[in-house]
Amino acid sequence: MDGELVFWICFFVGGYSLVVGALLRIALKSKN
Amino acid sequence: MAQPQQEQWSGRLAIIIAAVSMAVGTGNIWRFPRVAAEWGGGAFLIAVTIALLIWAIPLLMCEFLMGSRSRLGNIGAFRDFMGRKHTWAGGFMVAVTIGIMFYYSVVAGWCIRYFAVAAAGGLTPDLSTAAADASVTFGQTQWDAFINDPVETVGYHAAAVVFTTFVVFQGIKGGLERVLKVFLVALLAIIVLLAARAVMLPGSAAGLRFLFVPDWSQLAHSRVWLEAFTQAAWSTGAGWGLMMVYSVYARKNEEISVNSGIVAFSDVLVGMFAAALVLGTLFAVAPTPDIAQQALDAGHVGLTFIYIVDLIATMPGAWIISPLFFLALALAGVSSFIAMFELATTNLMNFGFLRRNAALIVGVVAFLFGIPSALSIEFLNNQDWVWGVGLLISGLLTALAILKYGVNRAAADIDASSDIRIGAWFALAVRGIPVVFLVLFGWWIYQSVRDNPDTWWNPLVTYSTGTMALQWGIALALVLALNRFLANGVKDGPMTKPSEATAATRSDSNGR
Repeated sequence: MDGELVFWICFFVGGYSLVVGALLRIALKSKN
Repeated sequence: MAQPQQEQWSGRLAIIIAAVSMAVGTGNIWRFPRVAAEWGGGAFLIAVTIALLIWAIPLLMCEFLMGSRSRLGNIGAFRDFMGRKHTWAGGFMVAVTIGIMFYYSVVAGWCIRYFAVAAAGGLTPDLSTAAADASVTFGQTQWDAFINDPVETVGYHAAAVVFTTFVVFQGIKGGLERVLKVFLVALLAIIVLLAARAVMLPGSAAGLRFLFVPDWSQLAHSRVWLEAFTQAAWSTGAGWGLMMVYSVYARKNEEISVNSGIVAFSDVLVGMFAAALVLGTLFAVAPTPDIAQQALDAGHVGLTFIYIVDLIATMPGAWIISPLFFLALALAGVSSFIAMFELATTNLMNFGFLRRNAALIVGVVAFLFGIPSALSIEFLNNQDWVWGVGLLISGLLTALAILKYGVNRAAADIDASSDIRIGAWFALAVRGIPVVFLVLFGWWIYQSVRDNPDTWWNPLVTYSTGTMALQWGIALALVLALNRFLANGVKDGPMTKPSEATAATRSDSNGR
């Protein structure tokens, strides 16, 4: 796999994973 | 007499799991990869992300607010948010989603059937004995034999309905929560596993490039944006009314903003893994890139039940990959079908039916009304077209309900119980939804007229504007005629204002 492809996979999959992870973390830590 | 206590999800995680299972459906596996590859890969993903922020997440938040505050299904929620005169809007939303439910059980049945056959080894033929010059492939033969056998198509449709009736019959905690938890974990594990396997196949990079590397020039084309907004609207469940129903069983003052964000972003994330699985496998296994492209152009059925069957059969480890793939599809399909079934059940319960009776009624009706789609794929395609586009109207009605209720008031309500304060953005996005609707809806109608220049008006043509207008018109006429019955028949919730007749009776009796 070339570097450009790896970058975009990390960008999209990593970005979405970070957002979902951050929101889940807020949800699980919240007192709501 | 004391009211029976309303059922409830066991906690916040339970409703998040249920809502993600609702959103992740067969479309994530067979639509998302095709559309993403066709419309610019990474550029399409950026357009989808914007569509999530402008259309899907605000609508999911609207639905969450309406369900959790009214504590009633769609009909009651619209009555209490829009006023009694507009109860029909909830009825229309129910009609659209039930229209989808009637054929979705058939589609779920196909997935169950393919999983059962794959698990029994029926999708891994002995390729050494296959005729090299066969004009019809193994996958095509399998599909033709199945789809033309009414005993099988109706039988597997019945299996999907019976299983779901049993789940919904058991209630929120004992049925849905227990099953959806297992389904979602299994589905995610299978998709991640198969995607990892696909990425490691030699040659998969060509497919992954289609998916992830942006073709920026595509962003200048309006079609990419329209496809992205349509994907966000259909895939996340925004505007279907399903989130509204699941949130009826949420705790009082359940958090809304973060929960809705998790549902929408998870849906697209699962779509990316599914797309890596499908596109990576296609381009690695297809003998030429042209055949991989043909598979993508073959529509949902052609890609999933014909090309993928043929291509997986040639892979090492097909005996396990094939059943796992169709198990994932079946889990995704059935979990979304459960949500639609629960929508019908909850609305019926609001008219005074006990859950068990309501579930049995919905089960019988879903089975009977699903039979035409089980027997005719043309009929199923027509229903998919009519009610699929109808979902956009449901989305618009949801936004209009919030605008009628007061968008700033809704934003304040959401902020009051949310972990993050995004009320200002929510209010802005909801105001923009009617504009987005006009563009999207206008495009679908334009496309229908353009593709059927001579027959677009004909209600008997599968993908015509005429068939949509006729079927929506019947549904609309019915719910408008039944408006008073719907408004008075649904039980009262915490937000219900007395009808004029009831108020007059009350003041009369007080006066005495």
